[in-house]
Amino acid sequence: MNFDIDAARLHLAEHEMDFLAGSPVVAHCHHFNLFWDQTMDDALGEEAGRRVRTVAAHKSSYRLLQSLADEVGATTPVERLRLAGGVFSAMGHGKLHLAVGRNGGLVRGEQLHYGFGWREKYGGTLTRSAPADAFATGFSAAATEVAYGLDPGSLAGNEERCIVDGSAGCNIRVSANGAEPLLPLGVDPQSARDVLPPPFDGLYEDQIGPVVSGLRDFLSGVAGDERGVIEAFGVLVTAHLADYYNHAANDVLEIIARDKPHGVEAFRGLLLEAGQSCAFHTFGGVLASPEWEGMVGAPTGDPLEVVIGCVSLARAFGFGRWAIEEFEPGKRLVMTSPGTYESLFSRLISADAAQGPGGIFVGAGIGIMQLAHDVTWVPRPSIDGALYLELARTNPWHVEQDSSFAGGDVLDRIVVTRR
Amino acid sequence: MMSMLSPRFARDVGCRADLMWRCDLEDPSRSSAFVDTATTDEFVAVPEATRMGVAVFEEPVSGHRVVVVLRTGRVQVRLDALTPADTRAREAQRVFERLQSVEAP
Repeated sequence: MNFDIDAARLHLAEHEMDFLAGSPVVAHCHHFNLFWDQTMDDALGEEAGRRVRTVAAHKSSYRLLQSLADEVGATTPVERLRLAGGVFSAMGHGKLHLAVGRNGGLVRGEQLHYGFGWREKYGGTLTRSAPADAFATGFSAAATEVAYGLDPGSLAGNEERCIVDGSAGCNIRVSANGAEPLLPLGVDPQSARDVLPPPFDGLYEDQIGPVVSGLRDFLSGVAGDERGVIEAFGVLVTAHLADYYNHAANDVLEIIARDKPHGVEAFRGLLLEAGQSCAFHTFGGVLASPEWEGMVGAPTGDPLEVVIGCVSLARAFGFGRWAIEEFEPGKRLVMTSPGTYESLFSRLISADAAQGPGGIFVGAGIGIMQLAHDVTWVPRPSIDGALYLELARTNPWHVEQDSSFAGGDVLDRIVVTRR
Repeated sequence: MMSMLSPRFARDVGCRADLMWRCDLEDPSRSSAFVDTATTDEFVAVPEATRMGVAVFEEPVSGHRVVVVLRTGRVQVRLDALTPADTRAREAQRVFERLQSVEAP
């Protein structure tokens, strides 16, 4: 079933956030998605990390699919499973063949974003036996529950076969679960409107606005093809559930705070690096792409141009209304936002909002300054793993968050300075 | 025969696993003419992707796409994501040679 993702999308323009059937969605590429999952595994270990990621996928997907089924009036299991498969592909996660009944069953996956992306990115140099598709696994369990009117958490998924180890395809087993029921909490548009402060302008809005409009126009036509693959700007893109990332980070943080409290700061450091990775790979990749060259022009090496481009991308991708409060080339960047997709979740959902995760906004501050100052744009750079590691090794930038919306402040604000 | 493309053909920036390759038009001001001439039965226009100052056409049999930046003449050969890894460089070269055969109108 082809699913028209744009028809179901709500754009909260004043806060630059997007919702799909009431669930927040953001655009992230496979570089970041793989990095994020690895971050969770680095914090907890491979098995526990995969468990947390699968549950995060299950909770966020259940919420999406239940709302979606209600919105479009899909009432029978067949209709609901078709709908689930359609939206999964439209979001760029690959293709699911859901051969399931109320007690579970087998799900076959093709071009699943994480396994496929991992094989493309690392398959030539690394080996891996642990399956990569926690998102598809949790999604499959949730799709089966919603199809058959079951409570969230009554079923569980397990990826039995994944292409990362050389298997020909991916198989996910959905079966009855003895674990506790899940609470599929999440952010919704009304609560976002209620709690977020009024938007405000930053510097260079006259340049940011048209770029955001152009990007949004471009992205409005982007959806998974018949294989469930979205290729845009030269990367594999997903329209992903923001609360997948948020639940995963929040749950990992809770586990670490409970079991290894001395590790909390280290985990925050990992989240910050995920933000750096997002800026470098996603923003940097887009800036180097033909699409950017066609719409805005190839970066000339002017740092301000790069900063404006990155802030525009964050807005267009649904990260929130990031704004430039100050920018002094070579020295200092101050970015603000009334809230981001992470801090909004922390404020509304996290048990201890002040300690809630976050990292994309903060880490991206460093990544943006690296892209603006430490990348040679002319002639064109290779935005690749080698350059990322080189920049990480020589990074001269330091970031502080001096205002946290999640923690009860009126906005998010970061200050990036040269060490 | 007078090709519209420069002879240099190499992996593009951001290329992942040999999927993105780059060449350039000799004369960027002739980008639109190149797109018009290259769009044949072998390469069909992809109207939904042709915006933001780029023109996109696709080889239907393989799924490979060609992205042309109209104002700069940058040409990116973007192989289909499912192209087997061991055939990518060869496939890219094949597409490039096909594009080289596009003659100036």
